Amino acid sequence: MLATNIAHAGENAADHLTHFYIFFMPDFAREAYAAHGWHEETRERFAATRGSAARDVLPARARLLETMGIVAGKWLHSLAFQPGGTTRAIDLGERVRLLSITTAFRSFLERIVFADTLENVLAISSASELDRWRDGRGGDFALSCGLRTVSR
Amino acid sequence: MSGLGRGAGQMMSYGAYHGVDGELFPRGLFGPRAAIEPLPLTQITEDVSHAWMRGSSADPAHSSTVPDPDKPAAYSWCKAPRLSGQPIEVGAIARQTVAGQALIADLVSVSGTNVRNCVIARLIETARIALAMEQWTRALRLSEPFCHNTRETPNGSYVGLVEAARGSLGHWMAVRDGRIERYQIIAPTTWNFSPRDSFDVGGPLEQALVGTDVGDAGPRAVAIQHIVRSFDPCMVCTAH
Repeated sequence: MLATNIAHAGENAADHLTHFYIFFMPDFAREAYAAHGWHEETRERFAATRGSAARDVLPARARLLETMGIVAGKWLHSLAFQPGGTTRAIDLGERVRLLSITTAFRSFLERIVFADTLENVLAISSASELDRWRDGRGGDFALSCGLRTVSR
Repeated sequence: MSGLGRGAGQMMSYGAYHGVDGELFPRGLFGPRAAIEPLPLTQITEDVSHAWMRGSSADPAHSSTVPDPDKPAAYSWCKAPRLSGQPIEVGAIARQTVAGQALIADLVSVSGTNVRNCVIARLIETARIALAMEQWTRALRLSEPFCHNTRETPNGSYVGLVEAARGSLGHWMAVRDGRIERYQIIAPTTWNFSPRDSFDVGGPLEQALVGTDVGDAGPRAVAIQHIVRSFDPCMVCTAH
């Protein structure tokens, strides 16, 4: 059950990162936002295929998906899962490799995405606390929370 | 971003990441009274009144998926799944609302589901998943049997429910004489992007788009793209 959770979680977290960095944020690098003060920053960070964020997120995502290979024994296709479990046993060496991947993933989230520890991020419990937390903070999450959209 | 893409309100999760003490993200419905309720799974139906699909049973365990490309009132290849007759939003914001995650619950109580809250929910969920993966990895029992295999599949009906990244994914299957007799899938984007039902009620995306100020750009407005993308849609092979 835990091994199934690890493989499932690795894939879902990778999808969330792909959505945020590759699908959603590049819209804020569009010319429609050229008049906004934050446009230069979002363009350099998120412009489709050219932004600096892709250089950070793509290796982090690929590393995370190695969990699938270790647990399910077959990268990347999730049909390798069986209803009753996973496809192979995990030994001590593989647990060490899994831990180094989860540690690297946490480090990516804490340095690049949140600019804070995961524990601090998850302690934010209200909209007003979020506003106080992100005030003056770096990281892509705080940047995205402060964006204003236009309709034309 | 919080002014864009206000959703219809109801959300659900099939429950994700099972453990001996239950699920990390529990199963449930964020219902019409904005409270967490048990999920009435037997109330899931499929409406094809506006889909290019031939009518069959409304029950996914008995329905079929037969295209009808000349159907006059239709405008989508997507069926309209409903729970107790209502459209339901699924995805990270639904999972974290049903799970009672403090920040997401507060944001939803202040401004409902919208573009900003959906994006925040996805990253807050990613933080929770990262912590859980560390704990699961440390708790793994090493070199143990890894799969409980069953040799035969008896005749009968089977339902598989899981939370994919984009939301609630259900498979309904019937088996006879060791072979698959019937197979239906309701995918997350089918819930979120469902067309209107026979009561002319649109799905979550349609309702979120209503009232969007598109200015002079019309259908090319970037606001529409923000709203559509905030659902993380997957429509490439939509034929469910």
